[in-house]
Amino acid sequence: MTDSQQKSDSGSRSVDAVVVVSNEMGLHIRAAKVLVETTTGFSSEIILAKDGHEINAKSILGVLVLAAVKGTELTLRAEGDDASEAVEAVIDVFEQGFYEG
Amino acid sequence: MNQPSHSIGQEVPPPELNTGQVLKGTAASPGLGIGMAFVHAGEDLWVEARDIPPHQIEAELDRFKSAISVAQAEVLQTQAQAKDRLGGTESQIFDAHRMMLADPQVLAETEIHIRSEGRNAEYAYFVTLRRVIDVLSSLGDDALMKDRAVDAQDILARVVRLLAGDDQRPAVHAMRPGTVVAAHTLTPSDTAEMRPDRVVAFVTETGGTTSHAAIVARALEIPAVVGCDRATVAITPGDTVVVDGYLGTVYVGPDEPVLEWFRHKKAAALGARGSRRGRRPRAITTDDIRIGMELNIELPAEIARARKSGADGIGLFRTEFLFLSRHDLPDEEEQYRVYRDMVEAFGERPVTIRTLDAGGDKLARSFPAEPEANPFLGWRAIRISLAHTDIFRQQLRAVLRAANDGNVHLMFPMITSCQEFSEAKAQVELARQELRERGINVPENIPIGAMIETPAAALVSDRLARDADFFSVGTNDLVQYTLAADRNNERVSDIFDHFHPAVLALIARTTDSAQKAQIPVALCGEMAHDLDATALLVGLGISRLSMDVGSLDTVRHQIRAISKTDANRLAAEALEQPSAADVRALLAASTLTPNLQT
Repeated sequence: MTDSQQKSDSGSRSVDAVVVVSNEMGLHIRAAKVLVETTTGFSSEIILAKDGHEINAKSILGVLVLAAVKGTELTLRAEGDDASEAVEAVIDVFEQGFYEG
Repeated sequence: MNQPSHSIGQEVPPPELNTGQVLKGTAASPGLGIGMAFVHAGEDLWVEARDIPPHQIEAELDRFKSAISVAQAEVLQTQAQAKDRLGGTESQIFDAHRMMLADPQVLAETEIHIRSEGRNAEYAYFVTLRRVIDVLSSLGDDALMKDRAVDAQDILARVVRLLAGDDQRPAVHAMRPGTVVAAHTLTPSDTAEMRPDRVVAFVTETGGTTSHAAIVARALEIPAVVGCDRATVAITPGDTVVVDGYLGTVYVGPDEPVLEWFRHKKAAALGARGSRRGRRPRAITTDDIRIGMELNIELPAEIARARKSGADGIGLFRTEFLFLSRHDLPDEEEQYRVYRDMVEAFGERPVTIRTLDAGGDKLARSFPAEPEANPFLGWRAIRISLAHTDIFRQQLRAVLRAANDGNVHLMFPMITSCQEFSEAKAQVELARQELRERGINVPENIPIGAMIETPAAALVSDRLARDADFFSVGTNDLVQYTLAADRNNERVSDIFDHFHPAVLALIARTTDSAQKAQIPVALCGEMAHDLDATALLVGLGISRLSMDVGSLDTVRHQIRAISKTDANRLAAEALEQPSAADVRALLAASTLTPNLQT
């Protein structure tokens, strides 16, 4: 994680952040699985976007379709009651490199 | 090679018209096909599009959800069974499969599709997942992602099977008239299931002009484009598609003016063909040598057209369709009826029935066969028949009974030795006895021939000729086995060339042996309709050419333009050439092969 920020829009329950893919392999199947296991635990809607292309971060096929390699910058948005926790958790798995190696 | 020489259809729509997405492939069967796409979902799967009435939508959604649950349970079970053998990493693939099955986005989009379009679950799921597979398989050089496309294809197949049932025939039978079939590959079992009167064109992603899809398309006289990369991805079931089998072009979703333009062209092409068929001279060389013009027949549906074709007979009646993609084996009675119908339709003209020519893996599902590493070098054709003489004699009895109804010739595929041939003939004698015991008398002698499609058979053809009543050269297999190149493998398909001098030498050896024994030699591979090869084959001593209906007129025309004396000289020279390219150059320079001249 070189450039992550978190800004909270008070009241709207929408939280935005920027995450960077830091692991060697990029968002391949294993990483996507770790990510989706994380996002599935939250009730908020969680959206990842690359170059304006948005996907549902609870959709493993959506995450794979992003084809995000190491160094890719993604925007993250969560909307819902547990939006802040969700964004924190997602930032964490990105920072941990999806526990790769 | 094998390019149709029709001048008609060599135009494209005017550039100002909106042609939709344009795909390029190889022209494999001439003609224009306009229709609605039916897409082969891979792994022998077909997806039927059905309308669901509003009051059944909820039930359809339930059906979908329970199929997904069952699929997940199945994957979990497979995973548990595989856990001992697979390490943790491999087992994770199954986790991924289960996550893909549970993918909320795919489920939601499928449900929306079912609801808003009122379509059946398997179709909605197919359309949704196919889009994802499309993106995954297009992700540049990322092999890992392409593997995920395969995973997604796996779960797609699993769910469609659960929804539509193991037996995919209903989906194929639901094909509407005017269907364009788009597939990755078409196998004989796929085409055997189709209603030929409902299919107007084929588009496949793999294969060349000698692939199965191309052969069937020419037999049915429907246009085909093969080797059309990403066709099943670009074409969605239900799309309006134009297949230009002259130029190898496929138009997906063109505007109405474009469709209109093609309808005009199609009408013009059909008109021209009608007038060409007006009168039918015999296939006689300028020095009065008659060449038999016979037909290759793949399906009973072709009988009517075959009879009207003016052919001198059936040079190759394939019987595989009787055995493919079904749960049981056809009995004697069922086979007899099919053979009899064909034989009766041809009256005095000979009908050459080839006994079963398939790999064990292609047979009825009840048939005990293991997948093989080298199916073309494995258990197939006459080898299966001689190993299962009960099934073989059942077929032979049906053929012998049909001989009471007309002029039946019998031949055995993939012969490699005299011993095989005489064993097969002994089975014919046994079958005759069995019929006699049942009080059925059949002709004592029907012509029995050996197919020459292995180098071994060609090389021992002088000895085979002592026992055979005729030879039939199957060039597709002969070329493949001689040059060790699979014609369907695009990487080596340029090696597959029937003008290779080694192939010509084997044909010459065969015709020499036959001439000494005074038996005829037919030729029934793709080479038979290659106009560039006609003079060469006449010169090599082939006396009957067997091909698809659509090629009869042009080949006949070609024969009438050559003399046997000149053809002999050409063949002798061709046999001296070092390579296929040299043979082609020789043919191009010859006045006997006008097609290769520029």
